[in-house]
Amino acid sequence: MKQLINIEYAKLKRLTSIKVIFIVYMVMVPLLIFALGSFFGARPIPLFPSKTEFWSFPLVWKFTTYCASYFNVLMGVIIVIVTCNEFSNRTLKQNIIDGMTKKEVIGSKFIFIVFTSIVVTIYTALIALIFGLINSLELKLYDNIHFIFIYFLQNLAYFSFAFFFAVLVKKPAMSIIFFVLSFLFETIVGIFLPAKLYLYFPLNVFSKLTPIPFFESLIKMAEKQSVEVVPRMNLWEIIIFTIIYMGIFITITYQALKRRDL
Amino acid sequence: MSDIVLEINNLRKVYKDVVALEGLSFEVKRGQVFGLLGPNGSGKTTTLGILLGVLRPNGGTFSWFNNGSKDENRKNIGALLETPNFYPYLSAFDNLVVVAKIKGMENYDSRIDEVLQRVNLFERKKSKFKTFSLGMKQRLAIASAMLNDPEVLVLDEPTNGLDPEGIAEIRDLIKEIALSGKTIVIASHILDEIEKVCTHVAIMRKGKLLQMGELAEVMNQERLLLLKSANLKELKNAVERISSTKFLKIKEDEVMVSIADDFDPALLNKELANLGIYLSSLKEHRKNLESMFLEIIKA
Repeated sequence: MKQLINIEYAKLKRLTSIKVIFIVYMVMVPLLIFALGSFFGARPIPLFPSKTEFWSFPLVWKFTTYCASYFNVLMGVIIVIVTCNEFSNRTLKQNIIDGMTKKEVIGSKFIFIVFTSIVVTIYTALIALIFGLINSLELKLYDNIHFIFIYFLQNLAYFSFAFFFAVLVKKPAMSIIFFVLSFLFETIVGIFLPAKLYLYFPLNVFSKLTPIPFFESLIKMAEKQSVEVVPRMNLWEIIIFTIIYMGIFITITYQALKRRDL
Repeated sequence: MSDIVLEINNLRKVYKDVVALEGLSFEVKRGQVFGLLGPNGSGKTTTLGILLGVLRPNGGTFSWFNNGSKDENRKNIGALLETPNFYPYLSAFDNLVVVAKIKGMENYDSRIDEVLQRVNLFERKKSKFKTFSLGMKQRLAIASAMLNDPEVLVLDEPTNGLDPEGIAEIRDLIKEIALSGKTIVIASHILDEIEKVCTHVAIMRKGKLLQMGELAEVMNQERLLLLKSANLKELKNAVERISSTKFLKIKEDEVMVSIADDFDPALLNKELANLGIYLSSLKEHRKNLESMFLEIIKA
């Protein structure tokens, strides 16, 4: 394990594209929190919370992770780039020739996924903390803080999905395009499927980890107006399905690599 | 430890529409410099790819160090397969750090400098891999293969892309490594290369083994003489009449004959003179590996 971390670090410490993408993330997340907070906070619908409420504890945890989750996809691109590089430079092949097992190759990339998730989550938590400290009237710091851990899980899930794509497609440009399009594709498919079924689609499940902060109240409002119950999962169900999907993606990725000639 | 470093048994590999390897078997013993010879597409790289864990065979087995096909075996093998594969954004030094870590080496800094010096890349150790010429990339790959002083080197076309000076350097390097008792497996279609460094050869064509043995054994052949005189036709007739020689063919402006191992060419000269034919040239002809190879391949 320590050896795999070492190897991965030696490979990636000088890769500038990672740093550039992360800086973009660092800038965009607070900007979006500011922009969306101002937009929703202007209360186009009366039941919306106010701007300061979005940016105060306890809602700020939920709101920050919701905003940041838009850029999860961007961070997923890092995973795609790093993985596809290993194929296009044939370094993955060389790593195996030099003595790594295919399991170690997958393992070391998963370590990178976990590491990236940790960094992204910590940064996002800091941003939430700063917004909260500036705007909160009272310090209810720990209410809703679990959303930070849920956001971490969401990172892991999206990145595993990105990794899965990268290993299957191998070509960097194609992988990025397919990875980004897959979100659109699933949404379009979802429109034509019964809501009960679409509920269980992987990307949909992942996105429900960080729902719009007033999602619940929106649904309750919708249910009041019609007789039908909007199908939805509770948080625990969402978490369990997310973990199952992650497991499936990682397993398929490993099996694909194991069977493939490099 | 056993003498057998590598044992291959009935290896088979089928790609979508071609059979790349058809029941290949051979073994390599400790200290041999084993040349894998064959034209393009004969299955050399496929064989090495399987032995290095990047291709999955459709049948057959192989065993390194009498330890089967375990992944850990490769840590004791230094290998260069097809192209030099490195991280383009890392320097030569940093690329070798990655390899050293994979090999599980500790305190590798001075060893990296050492191998870089051996392939004349020390001055460029801080340059990024992507700035290297093909020859430099190839030399870095060889440095990487030598990095942890492995028991076995597997080299696929090691002088590919090198200039004549580089080729000579690498050849000397291989000889030097071989002298230190390491086992080396080299695949090449450049026969000169094999002939100059190998102790043993295996000749492949279309995924099958055609011939294998010590280089001297494979090269072992009848003695040949090339004769020249004013009238080739007369010379040919005369040679056919002399019982101690066997006419083979007319090659350009010379007549090729084969003679017994202990036959003295002076006697032939004398006999021909007696028949009124005076040779303008008489020389012994040694086939090189190239002509041997072409004969074996075409047979």
